[in-house]
Amino acid sequence: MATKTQQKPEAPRGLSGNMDEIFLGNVLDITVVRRLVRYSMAYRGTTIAVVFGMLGYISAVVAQPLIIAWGIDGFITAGPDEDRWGSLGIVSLIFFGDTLLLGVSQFIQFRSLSRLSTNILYDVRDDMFTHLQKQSTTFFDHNEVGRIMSRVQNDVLALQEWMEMSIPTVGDVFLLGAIIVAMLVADTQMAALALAPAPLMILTMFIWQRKAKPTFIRIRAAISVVNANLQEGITGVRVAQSMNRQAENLRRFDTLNRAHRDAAVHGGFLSGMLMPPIEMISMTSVGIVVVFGGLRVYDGLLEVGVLFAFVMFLLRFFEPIRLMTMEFTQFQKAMASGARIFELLDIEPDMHDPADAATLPEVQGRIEFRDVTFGYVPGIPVLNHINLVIEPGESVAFVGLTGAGKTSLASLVQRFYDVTDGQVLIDGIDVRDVSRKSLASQMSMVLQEPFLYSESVRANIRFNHADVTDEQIEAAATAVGAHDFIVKMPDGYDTVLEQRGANLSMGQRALVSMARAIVSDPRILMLDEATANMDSDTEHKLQEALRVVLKGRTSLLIAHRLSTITGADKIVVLEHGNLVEVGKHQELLDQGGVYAGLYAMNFGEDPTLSV
Amino acid sequence: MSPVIRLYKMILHYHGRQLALGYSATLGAAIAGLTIPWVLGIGIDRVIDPTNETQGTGALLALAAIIVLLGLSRGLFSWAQTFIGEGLSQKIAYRIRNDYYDQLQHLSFAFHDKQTTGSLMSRATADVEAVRMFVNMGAVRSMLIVLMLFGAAIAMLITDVQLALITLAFVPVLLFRAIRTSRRLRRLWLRVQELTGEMVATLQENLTGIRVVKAFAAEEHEISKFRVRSQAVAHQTFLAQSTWAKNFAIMNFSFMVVMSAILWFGGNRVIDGREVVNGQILYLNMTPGELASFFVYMNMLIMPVRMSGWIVNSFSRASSSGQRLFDILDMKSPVQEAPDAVDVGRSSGRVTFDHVSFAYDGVNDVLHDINVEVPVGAVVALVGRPGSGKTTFAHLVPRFYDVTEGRILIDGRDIRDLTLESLRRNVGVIQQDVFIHTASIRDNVAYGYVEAHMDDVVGAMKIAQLHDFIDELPSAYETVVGERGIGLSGGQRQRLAIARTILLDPPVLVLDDSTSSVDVHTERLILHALDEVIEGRTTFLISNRFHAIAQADEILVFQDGRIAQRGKHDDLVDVPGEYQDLYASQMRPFEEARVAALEAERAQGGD
Repeated sequence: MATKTQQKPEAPRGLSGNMDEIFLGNVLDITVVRRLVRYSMAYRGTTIAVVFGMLGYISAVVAQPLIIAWGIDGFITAGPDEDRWGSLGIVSLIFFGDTLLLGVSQFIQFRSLSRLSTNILYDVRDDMFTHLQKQSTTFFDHNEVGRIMSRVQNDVLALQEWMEMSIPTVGDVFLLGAIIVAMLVADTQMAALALAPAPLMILTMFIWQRKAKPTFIRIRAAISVVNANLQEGITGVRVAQSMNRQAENLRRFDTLNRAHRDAAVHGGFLSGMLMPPIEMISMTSVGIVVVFGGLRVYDGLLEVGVLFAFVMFLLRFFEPIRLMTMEFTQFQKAMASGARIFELLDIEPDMHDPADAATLPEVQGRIEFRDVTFGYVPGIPVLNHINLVIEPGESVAFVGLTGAGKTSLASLVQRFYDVTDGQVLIDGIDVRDVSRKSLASQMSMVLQEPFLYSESVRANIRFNHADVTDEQIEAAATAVGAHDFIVKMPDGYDTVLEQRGANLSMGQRALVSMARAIVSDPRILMLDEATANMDSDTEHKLQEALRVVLKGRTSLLIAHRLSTITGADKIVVLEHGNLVEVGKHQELLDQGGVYAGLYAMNFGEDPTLSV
Repeated sequence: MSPVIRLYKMILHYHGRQLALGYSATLGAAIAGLTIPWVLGIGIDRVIDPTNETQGTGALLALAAIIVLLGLSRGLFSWAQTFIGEGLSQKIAYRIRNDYYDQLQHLSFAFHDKQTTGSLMSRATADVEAVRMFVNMGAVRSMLIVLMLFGAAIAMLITDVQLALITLAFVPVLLFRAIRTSRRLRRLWLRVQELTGEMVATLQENLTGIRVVKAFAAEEHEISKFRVRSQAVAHQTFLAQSTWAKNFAIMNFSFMVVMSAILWFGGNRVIDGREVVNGQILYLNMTPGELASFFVYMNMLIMPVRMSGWIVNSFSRASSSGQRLFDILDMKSPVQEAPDAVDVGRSSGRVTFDHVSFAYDGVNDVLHDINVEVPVGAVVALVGRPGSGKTTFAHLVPRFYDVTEGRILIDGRDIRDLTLESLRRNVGVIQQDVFIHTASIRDNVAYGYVEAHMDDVVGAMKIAQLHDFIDELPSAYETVVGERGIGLSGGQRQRLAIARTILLDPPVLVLDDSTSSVDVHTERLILHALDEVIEGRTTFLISNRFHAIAQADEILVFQDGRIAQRGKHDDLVDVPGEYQDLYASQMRPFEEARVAALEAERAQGGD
């Protein structure tokens, strides 16, 4: 009893690992940063604005304490002054000017940074989406939607949060350097003394970070486990209630929830732990300045304003270091996310249009499988040496057990996959020699479970055929018998469908998807018939629609209903990837082979089947 | 009661002592913080006063030591405050999460029918987080803001009333601005979230329907669709961020304007009060050290003022998020256990519907005046078109919903007089939408009976015709299945559901088998499994398989919420009516096959 999932064993080229568990990245990953910088190259103007804004900001901040110092030393403590406006007034005005510079440059810096970051994120998202569209069906067989979603969504979000957080801190990092320089220039000796405790601070941070890291990783892992369990509790609530599992479920949830709480409380303890040493170290610097600077002021070697400026510098100095340490988990998360994003972007699509891919000319619809062998995984063929010719306008029903290769065979015509050996020809042209787009434009598909988009009915039928007129849309809907119920909907063709077309019945969804398939009047049609039972009315409508849809087209039917099978021009029977029988219904029954067996199993009365 | 007040009450009730400790730590940190500028001011005055020269190094060292000690104590108090605030918020979040989970587990199907997993999850994540932030920021840390603002104001007033008044005049304006801005920003960010949601929906649709995209070669169409969404997100994000940037810059600018004012007015006051008496400089109005301390105070106020916006936001977020959570937590499940409910033990399995009517909304009957008597061990097939009421009928037995009128009896007792636990122990339900947990196969089978012996698990799986398949897997029963484990096919899931129900050996069985999107081979396996399962149990069978239906002791044909026909297959099939119609539509392919087969026989016979 092989299922689809087992037929296609482990992803040979899927995305790596569990999204939630990789937090162990570096705080800075050079390759990630380099790629992000490459993205910023496209916005050179904005980048330059960032640099200018930052320069303005840094100089304004550094100038502030110096201006105050000048005011104190030059005028306030200097003695009586006749021309107050000419002295203290000028200092105050200069200070005000500096303030203006600070405000404007900070605004320019932040705004440009946010422009840069939103643009980069937009580009990353766009690249990911475009890149995903280029991937072959194989890729999607191997990677669950949830996993891909999490890359485009959560990983880009982690980058975004990191960038948002970085916006105010980027300038502060450069500011540190500027403050050091300013202090050294003002008084080299005192600056050296004041900064002496700084290495101690860095050492503290380093030790703390190593100690705290596992806890913060644990907190994040714990909350994702809690949420996963909660989600399962919600989706499985009906089973839980019918099986009296509530108390046991709560007990298990509580264990996880408690583990997270305890880790998080410990995390709070750890993040607070940094505060006493930081405060003490930075105040030691201030204390050094008070003692050393004080003595120099006594000696007349230093003016009191400069002393004050030093204190102001020091009060600003340690804050950015502290912030950056606290946010290190964010850095790690962003770097890990970045690495995963670029991993995805680096996956080469395994199916390319050749550079000289021709456009498939208008076809008659003759399909030929010439000695086709195919497997999803090398060495495990799903189809063996298939030879089959389908004439234009012919409808062919593929019959066989699950896993016999029906769907695979139809997929090859659309070039969802490439054959391992042999050729698939349409009007004598190998499908690999023409562009995918021109190939697809001449065929369409009706899926077993119709997939509709949360857009208007009209947009759903038109889909990507931009040149199709409203009249053609209505004609297609009328042909399959969908027009009547569509016009009865609140906004007719403009009614927006709910997610997956939830506001339509299953039968209606099938009809809309049939209309979509024929709106561009393709020569070739694939149809994977629904297996679910429907009420007689719907059943009847679908059969009618099917007749219209098939008329005049070459069609490949993965049939489940007997009427569809018997109505086909040709029945192709597959078994274990081999083409075993071809013929009409009656001929095949008479042969008494595989088809007759399948037929008996499906449709004959089976005395052992009783309840 | 306002959600914020309820949260406060919750904190006081469970963690009152901790809150008090948190506030004390906050007070300590604020006092230590506010003393530092004052000491610095004294220090500056000392060093510029030549008369102090004699005291020299010793006094300076003492000052420095005080500053370091103040720093250390501020650090220690902040540590305590962070630890307590974070701890308190995590404990409240933990409590709410547990209550929420438990409540969801107990709310009836009527509630869950109307909710999407997404919206329930977003309450559990985003709303709980908002409440947590409120406890940490709004409830604990807001005190720091208040203390800092008032403390600084008092300290400045003591130092110099005139300059303090000039300085403090700005503060209300800045506060107002900070609060208004953060409200505006919140709206902008909410919009970003909305647009992001739309973008994610487009992405999800694209990925789920990727086969359609590939079949139609609609990649470019999809890219342009996604681009519209993604551009909207980028645009709105930039709008929010640049609004923030503007306000951040304006805020900083305003603070610096106040500094300029201090420099000018304060400077003038110092100079005006400066007098030289006996060669000694005296500052009558204000000393340079006091002026310096003003600058430092102002520096210290930047943080609280900026945070005040956040705090106010955390209040309004907690108010709306708390409301959403309490709405659920306060909800009473319509299916309630009677206070004097009894444990029914093991019932024999006689089920009676006595004038039962049911409406989901209490108004429009989905079932109308149903009367059915099911003897012990009977198999009742429920037949009807989608929406005819057959599934609803079956779901009333385990009280997934409560009847609107009439009553349902098991062994002659109203099911509302029984404990829910004992009722559901007696009624096993195999739903058509089988939910598999991310856990080992063994745990999934033993879902309703955790202590089940392994032999019983294997036995149930053998009856369900799934044992052979599981046994061949490398880790057999320890194989993890479900969302984050290996996938099972539809038929395998259904058989697993059968196994986990028969493990409980319920006397009454509800079997919803109306999905049949499995291939023939699987269908036969399922039918074989069912054969054994229903043996000796009162069974309600919802099915489209007429093989199965035809064998039932009684068939109930539902039409528009009423039982249109009842009886055995042979009686019903020949009478014109709903059953015949349904049979005809389901069986048409079979009939066609039969005719074809007959013709084939005739053709062969003719040879």
